[in-house]
Amino acid sequence: MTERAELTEHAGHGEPAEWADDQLVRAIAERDPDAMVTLYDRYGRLAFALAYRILADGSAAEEVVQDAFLRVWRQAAAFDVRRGTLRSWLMTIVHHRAIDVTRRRASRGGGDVDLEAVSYSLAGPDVWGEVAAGIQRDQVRAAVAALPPEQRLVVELAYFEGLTHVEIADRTGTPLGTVKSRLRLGLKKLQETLGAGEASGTRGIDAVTPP
Amino acid sequence: MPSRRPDREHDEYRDLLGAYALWALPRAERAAVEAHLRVCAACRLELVGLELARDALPLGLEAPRLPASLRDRLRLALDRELAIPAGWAVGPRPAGGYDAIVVGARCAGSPTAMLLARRGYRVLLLDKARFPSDTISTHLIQAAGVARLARWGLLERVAASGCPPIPRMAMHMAGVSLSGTVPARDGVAADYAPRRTVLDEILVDAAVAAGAELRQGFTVTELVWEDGRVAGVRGHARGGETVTEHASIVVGADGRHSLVARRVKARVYDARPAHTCCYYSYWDGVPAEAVELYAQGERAVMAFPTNEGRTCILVDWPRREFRQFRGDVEGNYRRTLAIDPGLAERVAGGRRVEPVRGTPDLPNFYRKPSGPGWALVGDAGYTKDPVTAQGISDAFRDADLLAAALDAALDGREGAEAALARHARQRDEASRPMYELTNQIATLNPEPGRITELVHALRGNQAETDRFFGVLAGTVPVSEFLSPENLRRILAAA
Repeated sequence: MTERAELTEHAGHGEPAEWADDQLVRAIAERDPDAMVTLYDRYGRLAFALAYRILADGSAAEEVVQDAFLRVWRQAAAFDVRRGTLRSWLMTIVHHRAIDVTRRRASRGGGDVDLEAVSYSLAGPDVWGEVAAGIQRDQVRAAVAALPPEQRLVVELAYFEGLTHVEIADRTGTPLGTVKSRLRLGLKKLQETLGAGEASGTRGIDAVTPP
Repeated sequence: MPSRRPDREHDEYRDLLGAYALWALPRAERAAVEAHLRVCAACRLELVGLELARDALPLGLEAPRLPASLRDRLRLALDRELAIPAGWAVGPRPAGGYDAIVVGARCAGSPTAMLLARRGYRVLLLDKARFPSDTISTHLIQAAGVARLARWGLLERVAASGCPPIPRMAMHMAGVSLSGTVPARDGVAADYAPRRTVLDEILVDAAVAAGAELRQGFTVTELVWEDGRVAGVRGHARGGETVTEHASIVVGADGRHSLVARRVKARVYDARPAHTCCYYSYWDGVPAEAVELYAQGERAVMAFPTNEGRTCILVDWPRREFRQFRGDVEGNYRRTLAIDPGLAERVAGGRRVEPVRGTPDLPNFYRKPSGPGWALVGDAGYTKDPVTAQGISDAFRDADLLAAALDAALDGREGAEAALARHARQRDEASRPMYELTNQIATLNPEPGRITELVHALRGNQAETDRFFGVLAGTVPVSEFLSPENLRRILAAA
């Protein structure tokens, strides 16, 4: 964290690979392709993993990932660091685009669900840096595995298959009210487990103040 | 809907936060949660944690090997982006404004608004009328347009309105009677002919359900210009004050006399003289199970079933005989139905249930459909004679094409000028052959020629007769059917 803060003070110096995310996004907004490739090197693997998990198709996932990075390239100037982190924004785009492809594939149409809107996110710019740095893949998997099966199921149906709460209720034969609670409790539990494994994460969350 | 008691309301919204964080809420509920978040610090705080957990989910995934070529492709794409010539662009959504304002909420405007809203854009949809609202129309949605309704998820509502599917067509001209079944496209092989009071309301509702903001009874009087580009509209509700609304792009879906087109001075091209005047009414007790087409002398008649078990019957006269027609609208309408003895007999046993309506104002033209800050869709950009009843399905296709182009432009995937030039090209390529055929048929020329020769040759050739009807229904490409090779084949087989 200290390192990042120092780098922020010297924005524009050094190699893009050493820049913090908010410096990267400023450089991308100024159409610096090296900054863009750095962003790809940093998050390309994560983006691809998500797209691949949702689409189960390597070439479709590649297309989604390239599309998502190009969107960041074109819209970086409008990106507001106060509304969330670069990483969260990128992954939101990857997620929505991939779900969009599956929906088109199933020709279910867009329906009522708006897959393009960026969430009303209040995560402060530093939260991710603090939490994500300490979280290893194994920890996340362990935390997901520790969820009660019924909570894990609804969270995965929502996130990886892009189903709405009503569709989840239909698919699982569960009352809608139960689906709502499980979605919330599942995420809460996940957050607690992850927070317990990473003290700085909790601090980061507590530090956020509403705008 | 949550109750009004604040504590209870809070509990119900808090219960939705998980679904909200996971993007699992329909639009209306999401908007309600966002309204609550603006006033509830506790929920905002909880949401931060839930979103953090959500964003951790992909970190647990087993990452397959990242394809090495992807990095190179991204670099190439960036180089291309940097080389894109500027052209005109769409600006970002103005503060307090919209991504798109669509002027006109009928067959072109509402689907355009719906498709943009479904893609997540902020859309304002305006119309002079209040829905349900009638308008002069051929009514027929050709099968190709029906296929779009099905893709958009709206066909069920149209079918549920009680207008029947019409899979068959019958044609009586030059002493020949042909009948057949329209070949399917995308699983759809039927026309529908709903009343416009029915269809337009379904389309408007769908745009609103997708999230577009609708203002009915709203008249646009002027466009707002900024730096040489269209930046919004000025107008007023009935009896209301003049208001100004801003958007990245203004879409004129306001018909052949489009105010948007006139204000931007959209270039007109390939205009043809008006050929016909068209009048119609609705009948009880004249059952029709097909789209029936009659041509005789310089008259044409079209009959087909619509809502409420009624049949809509249209008559076409040459435009140059309009004054004579107007001299006795009801008498001339009625007398024209004697075009075919079978039809005359059925009409004699039935009852006309509404006044005869119609118009001599049936021009044929294209307009350049876009420029800095504006675009045209439907009749505003491409108008043709109703004799082949293509207007509604053309409007649907145009809405699909324009919405895709606007999405690319608003989203920044493509320069606006390039994306909208593509829309113009696709629109013209898709419509040109039918435009030529429509203009040919609309002359109502009874002299023997290519069309009468074709009709004679189709006798007894059911497969090609069906495909001929498919041309009208839009399920068989005109250029394919009317290609010299195909015509030679049909004539040789006769």
